[in-house]
Amino acid sequence: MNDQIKALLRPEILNTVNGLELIARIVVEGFMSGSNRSQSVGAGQEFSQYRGYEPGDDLRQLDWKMYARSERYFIKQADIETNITVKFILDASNSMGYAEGGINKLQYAKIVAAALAYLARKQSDAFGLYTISENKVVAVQPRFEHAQFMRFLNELIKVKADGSWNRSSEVEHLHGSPGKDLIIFLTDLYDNAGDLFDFVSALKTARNEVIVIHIMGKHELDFDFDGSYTFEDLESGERLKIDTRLQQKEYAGRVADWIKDSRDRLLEKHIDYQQIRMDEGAEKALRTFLTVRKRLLR
Amino acid sequence: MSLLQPWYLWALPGLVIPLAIHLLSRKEGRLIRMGSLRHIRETSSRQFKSIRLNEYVLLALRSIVVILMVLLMSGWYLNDLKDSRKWLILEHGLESDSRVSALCDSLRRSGYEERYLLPGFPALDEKQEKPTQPDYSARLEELQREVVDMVVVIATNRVRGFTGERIALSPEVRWISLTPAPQEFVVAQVLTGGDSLFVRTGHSSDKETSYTTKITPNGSSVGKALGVIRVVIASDENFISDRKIVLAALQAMRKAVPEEITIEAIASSSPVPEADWLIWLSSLPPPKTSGGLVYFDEQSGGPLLIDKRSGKIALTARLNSEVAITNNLTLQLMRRIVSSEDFLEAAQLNDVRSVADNMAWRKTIAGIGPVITERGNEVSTQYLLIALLGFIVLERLLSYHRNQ
Repeated sequence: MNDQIKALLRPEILNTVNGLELIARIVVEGFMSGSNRSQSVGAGQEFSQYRGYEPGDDLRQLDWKMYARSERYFIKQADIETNITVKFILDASNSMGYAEGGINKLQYAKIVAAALAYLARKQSDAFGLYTISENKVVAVQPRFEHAQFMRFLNELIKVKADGSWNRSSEVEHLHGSPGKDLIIFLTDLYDNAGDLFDFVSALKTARNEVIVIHIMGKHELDFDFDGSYTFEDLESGERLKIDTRLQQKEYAGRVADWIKDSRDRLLEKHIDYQQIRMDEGAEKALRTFLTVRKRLLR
Repeated sequence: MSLLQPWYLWALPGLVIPLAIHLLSRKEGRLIRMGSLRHIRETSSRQFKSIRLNEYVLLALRSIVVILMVLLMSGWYLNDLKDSRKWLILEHGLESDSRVSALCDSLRRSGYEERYLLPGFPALDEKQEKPTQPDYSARLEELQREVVDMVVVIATNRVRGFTGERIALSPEVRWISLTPAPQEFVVAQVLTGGDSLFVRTGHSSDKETSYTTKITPNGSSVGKALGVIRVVIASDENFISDRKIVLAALQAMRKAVPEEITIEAIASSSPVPEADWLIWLSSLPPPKTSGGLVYFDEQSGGPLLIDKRSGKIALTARLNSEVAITNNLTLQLMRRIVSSEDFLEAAQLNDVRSVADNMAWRKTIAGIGPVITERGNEVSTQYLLIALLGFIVLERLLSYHRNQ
């Protein structure tokens, strides 16, 4: 994560639509700089047909070269590329409240989601947002509209971490949608009795692609607290008093095993897994997104 | 062990601070909220006992730091070796005085050591051979170099004991002055003329000292016989009046002292007989003599008699009755001619005239701290500071190590 973005990671910026958009733009532009420009030309690239000019048409859409050849006015029309729909699913359970380096996982997930959505807009994809907490499922249905990004950000900044994973049937409508979807699930993978895995597995169909973006903190991975602390479970409220030095190695090993296990289980189901650390940038997530998208378009 | 400013002990309730820290911090270590505790195993309670012990040690350390700070503020000082040294200093001769025996007894019971007011402050049980003249000023200066908490001095404030500048008593010193008992003493007891006894008796009280002389027929043959002092006065015609004056002085001297003084007046031109003293009243240079010599050597100003080398005395002015009276010629001559050291010592030793307390000591100036304990205090302040710093460092190290 570069310093420019770090400087922006303050609540008063993160919690506004404009601020979040700014961060997303900086993340994406920084990532995309130097890549093929044609990707960012946007909608209307793919030629579809000519039709005759009618009064009231936008003069900008006149094809002047065609006029030079034929001395007739033509409007050049293109297909709008809304081939794929990107669905962001955000885990808003309490465990996402784990904070490190001044921001918590949920805020970090918001940044990643905003950046990916910004990228999706550039790719003329339709995108939507589903945030899932124990008591509430908020949905911004996927659309391709100019105002969609603002709507998306607006919902995103309102998300609060709350409760544990949602066990009601509300989430089931996300399953098994028939379209060519790219589903991005931002989570910390802390589940109860495999409920998260069940949910993710059900998302995957033959036609769509699912990416699980696993957000972890550096200290959470390495357990390098160095001392005696009381740890509190954000979801259950359970407390443990620990001398971290005594079990740092064991802990790090257990976490590595857990991550490997999770990853294997996801890959078995052809679900992409990408772990990103909170002290790193979102580039890995962006790259995975673009790779998987390309695969989806084939 | 004592405190200079005990009211600072009111800061001791500051001990509540480390206690509060202890009680508050004992509950929880620093809290870290984790997404899940699934990968964390509880550490066994045995390891936590060491943490708890660490906390108790920290509590103790912090309490010690607070106590040390309070002690430092209140000026705690230790006296080097003994817990407290208390001296009762008696002037020589007062140890058996009935007026102070009750006081001495009670002080002895409360731990006072008895000492003499003599150089080095010897203990009372050491035998002192002979009484000496006390020197209060010198003893007080000596006392200020000793490390003593409380001193009670019982003395008679003799006039001759005070020399030099008046000094102030330090607060640790209680000076009790006793009116000395009136003394009656024999200064000199001399056989004169073989059959009579010359006895000079001194009477001394705190107010005055006087002497009386009695010449009695010798009954008991005590006292010592004295030799004869032979004085020769040689003069020429120009010094006749001077000779008269000197003769008168010698006559007066003869009455006052027990020694027998023979006076022989000769002309300066005649040969000088053997004598103890030759008084040469002539402008000619004096002849060589084996005894003392008073010769005329006119000078302006200065004292009448000037002591020169090897027992020679210069008379610096022509004599007349006025000069003789204003310059105490008789006394001056007598001091030189008659040896009086034995008598002088006895007279001084028994001179018990005393100085009133308000005259004896300079008024204590407010703000001058205790003199005697200063050294001890410095030392313990140093130790306290070192200990305080050490404990603070230790506390910091431990609490850093604990990491909570």
